[in-house]
Parts: sequence; structure tokens; C-alpha cells
Amino acid sequence: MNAASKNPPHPDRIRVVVTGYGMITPLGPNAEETFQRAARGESGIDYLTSFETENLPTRIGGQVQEPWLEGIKQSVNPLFGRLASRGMLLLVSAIQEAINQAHLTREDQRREMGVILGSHGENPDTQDILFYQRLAKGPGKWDLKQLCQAGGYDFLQFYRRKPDVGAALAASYLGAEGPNLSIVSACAASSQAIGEAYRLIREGRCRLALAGGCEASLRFSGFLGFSLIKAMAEKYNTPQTASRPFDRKRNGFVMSEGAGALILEDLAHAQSRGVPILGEILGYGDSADAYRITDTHPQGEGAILAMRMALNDSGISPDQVDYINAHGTSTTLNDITETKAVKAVFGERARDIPMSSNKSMLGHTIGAAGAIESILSLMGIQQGLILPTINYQFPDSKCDLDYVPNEARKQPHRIAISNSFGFGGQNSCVCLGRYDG
Amino acid sequence: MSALDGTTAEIVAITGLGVLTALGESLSSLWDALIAGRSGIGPISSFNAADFICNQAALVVEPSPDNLGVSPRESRVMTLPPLILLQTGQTACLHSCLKETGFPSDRIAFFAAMGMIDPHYNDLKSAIFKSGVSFPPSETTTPKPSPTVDYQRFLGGAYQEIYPLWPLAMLNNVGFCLAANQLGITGENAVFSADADAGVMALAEAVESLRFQRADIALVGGAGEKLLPMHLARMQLLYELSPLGTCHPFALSRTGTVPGEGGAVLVLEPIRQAQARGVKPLAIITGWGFGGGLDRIDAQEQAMRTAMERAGCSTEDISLLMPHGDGTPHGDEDELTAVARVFKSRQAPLPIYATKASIGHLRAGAAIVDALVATLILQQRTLPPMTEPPDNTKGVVWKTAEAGGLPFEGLRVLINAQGRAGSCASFILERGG
Repeated sequence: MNAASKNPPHPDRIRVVVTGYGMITPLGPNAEETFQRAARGESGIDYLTSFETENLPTRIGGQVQEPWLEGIKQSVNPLFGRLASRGMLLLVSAIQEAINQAHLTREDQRREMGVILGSHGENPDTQDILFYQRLAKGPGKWDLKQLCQAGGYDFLQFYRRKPDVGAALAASYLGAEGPNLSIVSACAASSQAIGEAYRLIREGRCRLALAGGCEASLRFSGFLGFSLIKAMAEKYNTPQTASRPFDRKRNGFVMSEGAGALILEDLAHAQSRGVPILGEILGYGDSADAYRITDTHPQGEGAILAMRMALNDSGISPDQVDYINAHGTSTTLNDITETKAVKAVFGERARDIPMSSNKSMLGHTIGAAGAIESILSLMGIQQGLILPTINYQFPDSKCDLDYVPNEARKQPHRIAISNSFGFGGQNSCVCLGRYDG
Repeated sequence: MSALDGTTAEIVAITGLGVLTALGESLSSLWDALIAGRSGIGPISSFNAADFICNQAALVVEPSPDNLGVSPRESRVMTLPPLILLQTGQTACLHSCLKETGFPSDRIAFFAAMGMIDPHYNDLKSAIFKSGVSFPPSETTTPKPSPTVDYQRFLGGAYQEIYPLWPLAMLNNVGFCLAANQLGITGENAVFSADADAGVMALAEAVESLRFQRADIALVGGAGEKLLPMHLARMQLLYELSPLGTCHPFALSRTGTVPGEGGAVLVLEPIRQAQARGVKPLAIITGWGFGGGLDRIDAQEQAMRTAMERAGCSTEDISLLMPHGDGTPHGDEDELTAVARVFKSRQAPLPIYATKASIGHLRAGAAIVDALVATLILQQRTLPPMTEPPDNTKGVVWKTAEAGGLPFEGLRVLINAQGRAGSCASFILERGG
């Protein structure tokens, strides 16, 4: 018996619902604007202005516009502002939207509220590199005092780099005293955060939770890493057409920044507060590839396992899934393996299930992607609209499913899964559903 | 009453241990040293630390990737923490006789706490030099000059001096995945970061994964950071380091902490399954709790109370406290205050033991190593000695061992763990059999 078939859901288990969500992305300062622009097939990708990219093989990305962050910068207290990374400021924006929508006050069940975030902290930047240059004078040439006085190393930067500071700051911001988890699993981080939050609530370990993630790596060092491993799109006619998941001419992902946050509650708790219920988390699955650190498993075994675990956990059959929100990075390998994995899980029906990639419009928001894409999937369910995969021009014989090419599709649907596969081989799948009472 | 006196349906036991610290890589070498009161702390030899206020640390002998079966290519991105996870994971699996039972890989879960990863100077040196980085000389540093990097030169080619897979080694989860790959684990998994409390997060997730039958076996690990100059500089800038180079947790004479390297992996499984396959349950995990917010005293108090509530026990039932006890004046002061609040009505003296005097501060590795040491204490029925008598100014009456250890028949150990960002955690282990 394998992991995907052993655990039938308990009929009387706690149901986990969504009562609020928020996001900030290259397409908009909130969830609604992002969704509407994505529904129109707009791209949030452009030439980067956040740092000098001249001579780099890739010069594009999905930036959040500065004016969208002005209000947030002014609203946080000075200490928070000093400790918070750019990613954290993005997250605060998403959190504010989510808690407003959930009508959540600071007094609501503080002890029973968890915070589970996928966050990697800020990348070490030029200051760090300069710090090492200081060391380069030779063995024993330490001058820590001078270095500190010279501003060579700002120790607050250490807090901005620490992955768990985001969750701690968010808990402080919300007054949430429940479980506080910081998950680092690259592109699967915020999807895993939703999954862990769902489990915490379903298993009675807390009654409500903030789940989500943030990423702000459009800086020198964060960008450079992915450039060095040749994972990003280097061939494109315009920035807007560079991210082209499942298209034959895809040649890498486009890095973006953003944040997504959801308020999850147990159903009884949400009902007792009398707030609108926006959707339901039906199940969650996660797995490891146990293959190679630099490649995904060629048959997508880890992805298959995660999807099957999510379906089994939800207690639904593959026949009941109406939409697949793909990881769809626009890298050559991911899009083929994900297609194979979906075929393995859904069989012949795979060709009939719409599957689209939000990354075609948003780029890849790494640690925030899972949360943003889960929210967009839920909004699609609410609005009966499936977001498109844009830039789909040249069919690839190895990617032969219905990717909802170029135009959004009006189609009422009830159940969706959202895939996220992390660099290194960590896979996550969240099963989302319409709340029908 | 023990948790084992009731139903065993949801009881999760520790059945395998693997550890690597400055006191060695075997359980016996660690235990013998702890009982003798020996410390693994010594002069830092991996780089020149002469100008730091503390040049002592508890360093490990780095595992050889070859011996662990890691390919040369992957070994280039495998830093010390994943090597620790892999080595101790292999040892723990052997200890728990997992190979003999042959669990499917997708029924084995893996959760771990991993620390922050600092860039290693040698990995960047060439690119930095070729970029023409200049830093104003110290004589002209008033006030706060801007160091400069020639981006034109860096982006024009110097950056290509960096090994292409170097960025992988900078991702927290990649090290974990390397270890999971080598161990052949495909079940559910998560990496928590970056301090001691992250180990308790991993432990709690592993227990719940087993209780809800999402896995048959769960590995839970924690690996601290490799000691690099930047790590030490950070600790100095945060006023954490002991200028004396010694760590005396909870002692009146405490002056700061000393960094350590190391980590551990535990094998967890339902106690019934362990009994069925003839494996000894070494300890059981009965409770845990977390506390957050900016007030660390409140957070630690909440964590301890939640852990005891979950375990269904009172302060009188706690046989031993293993504090986070990092030896810093303020950190220990806060934890002592929290402990005093929780144990204020306890009648009997409270036995105490802290590991950091012997193996340094392991950060993300600390909680899991403490869990391993607590398991050894419960199994060996002996309490190791503290290096210095604990601070009794908060009204808690302590009980400690001298060198050679003290007979210990206690049943439950309460263990604390703290993160720098203010998050606190506690968990309770009980003798398994």
C-alpha cells in the first residue's frame, strides 16, 4: 500500500475554509486587480529597474510597482520597517488585504491563530560580498570594529536574511500566538505553508491561520544565482513574451516578486464569526523526488505522488477535478515532466481537464507562487473563469494537454488542484473547492 | 501515570538515533563525554578568529562525502549541514533497523530544521577580485563611506567565475533535498528554519504525520550552521559570544554563548508498529507547545504550559528540565524568569541539565540533539553533570549532578528551544520502555 492510497478522509473531520485572501504581484496591488488583468491575458513582465542588469544574459523580470508599496511603508511602525525585508513589506500588503476581507480583528482568537509562511529571507547582497572582500587582506587581518563603524555589515540585514523573521513579524503584526512555522522549500514554500496550515486546523492544533509566502529576489545576488544555473529565459522578443509555459519555444522561467496570503479557518469557527466563506481547502499532498538535486524526476514521480496524495486526502477521485493550476514554469524540463505526471494521475481524462499556468503572465514568484496561484485558482472557481496560459503560440508535441491557450475561458467549475514543485525536489499539491455549505 | 498506561493508538516513539557533535559521531562517545563533564569546545582552527572576542567553538570533524556515497558533482554543493543530516540519518536508520523492515520510500516522511547558509569566501573570491571591489581604507571611514563594486566588470564576466551550482548551496532546502535523495525518502517533507525552535516544529510535524497515518516512519532532523567568519561576526554583533570562550547555561557566572557545529536525526514511528517489528521504543513524544510575540518570557512560558497541557502532566510530573540555556546573560535571564513562573508552585527540587556547555550552541540542530540527549538520559537512567551550579535567584530550587552523573529514575523531560526572532518552543519526552 502506498502513501497515496492509505489514508481515506474521515467523514466527520474538521473542514478547512478560506475566509480571506490577498496578494501583491507584478500585475496588481491586490487580488482583484491581479485576477482581472490576468483574465485579460496581460503580462506583468518588463525590463528590470531594481538593479543594473547590463551584460547579464537575462534582463527582465516581474517587479511590483513602487507606488503600490508606499502606503505599506508608511503604515508599519519604525522598528518593523527597519527589520522588514522588501519581501516582508510585500507580505504585509497581502496580509492586510486578507485580514480585511476576513473581517479579522486583532482580538479574534489570538491564542488559536497560527502563522505559517513560506519565506526565504532576503538574499545576501553586495554588503555581504564586500564583507568578504574585507577578509581578503589575508589571514589574521580582521578589523571587525572598523568594519562595523564603516557600515560594512549591517546586522539588521541579518534579520532581513533570516527565514523565520517573516513569520515572527507577521505573528507580532497580527497578535497571533498560535503555531508559528517558517517553511523553506524554494518554489513549493508557500504551497507547503498552505498545506501545513490546513493540517494544523484539520487536526485541531489551531482554529485559524495565516498561510502564505513572499519573495523579493529581484536584486543582484538573488537574480545572479538563477542566471548562473541557466534556469531563466534568455531568448525572447519582448519581455512580455518571455514566459511561455508549455510552448515549444520556451527556454526558461522569468523571475518575479510578490506575496500571497490566505486566512484559513475551521468551518465552525468561520460560521461562528458570520463571515463569508470564499472556498475550501479539500486536501493536500507533498512528496520528495529523491532523484537529483539539479533535475526533476524525468517521469515526474514526485509530482505524481503529491497529486495523488492530495486527491486521496480530499477524498475525491481524479474524475472530479475540473481544473489544474499548473506549476508551469516555462522551463523545458518542468513543463514536460508536469505534463507526464498529470497524464499518469488522470489517465485519458488528462486531455479533457483545462490546465493553465499563471506564470505565463506573472512570471515565477518562487516562494510566493504557491499562495498566489492557489488564490487565483479559488477566484477562478468563484467567478467561473479559468485563467489562460499566454504566449502559447507553438505547440510542443511533448506537451499536448489543454493549456487554455492565450484567452481566459468562461467555465463554471468546482474543484481545482494547484501544483508547486520546489527546486531540489520538494513537491506540493493543494486541492481547492467551491464552498457549497 | 505514564502515557504508556493508556491507549497506545496514537503514541509516537523514538526508535533510532544518529548524532554528530564536537564530542564525536557515536552515541557512546557523546554519552561518555557528557557523563564525565567533558566539553568539545576548543580553539577555532578552521579560520583565523584571533580578532573576535571569542575564538572558541565546538567544531565537528566534517563527514566525508565519499564515505556517505555522495557523487563528486553533488558534493560541491553539499555543505556541512546536509552532510550532517545525511550521516546522522544513515546512522539513525541503521539503529532503528529500517532496512530490515523495508518500508516503501513514499511511506517515510522527513522533516528537518536547517540553519542559515552563509556564502563561503573562497566560493566568491575570484569573482570579487575580478570585479575590482574597492573598500575605503579604515583611516578614511568617517562617517560610513560607501564601498564600491564595479558592476560593469562583475556583470561583464567576473560573475562567471562563480561555480554555476554555487547558488544551489545557498538555498536552505537544497541541502535537505540532497540528504533526502541519498536516503531515498519520497514521503511528505518540510524544512523549517532557522533556529533552535525550528527543530521542535519539525518534531511536531513528524509526530502528527504518524498520528494521522500519512507516513509509517518519520525522520526528524536538525543541523546547525557551519562555523564561518560571518557566522561568528554575526554572533559578536548581536552580543551573544562569551568573551571567556566558555558557555555556562543558567549559571550566575554566565557570560555568553559559544558556537557549535552538529546535529542529529531521530527515527519516529507509532509505538505499536515498533513493538510489532521488535524494535525498542527508546522514548515517546507526549507533548509540545509554541509561543510567539515580541516578549520572549511570555512566549517561553506559553510554550511550556502548552506542552504540559498536551502531555497531560503538571509541573510536579516533570522529572528533568533541559533549558534552551544558551549561556547569554539576557537570554538565560528571560528563560529563567519563564521557568520560575511556570514552576513556582512545584514542591520538589527541579533536576536540570543543559547541553550547550559541552557541545556549544547548535542553532537549528539544538532541539533535536537535546531530544537525543534526553533519550539517552532516560535510557541510561543517569543525569549528566552541569559545569556550573545554576542560578537560584529566581526562587527555583535546582537539583544537579556532579561529574560521573547522578542516578535518575525520572520519567519525563521537558526541553526548551528558542529562536532569535522571539519564537519559543517546548516539548516533552517520556521514557519509552
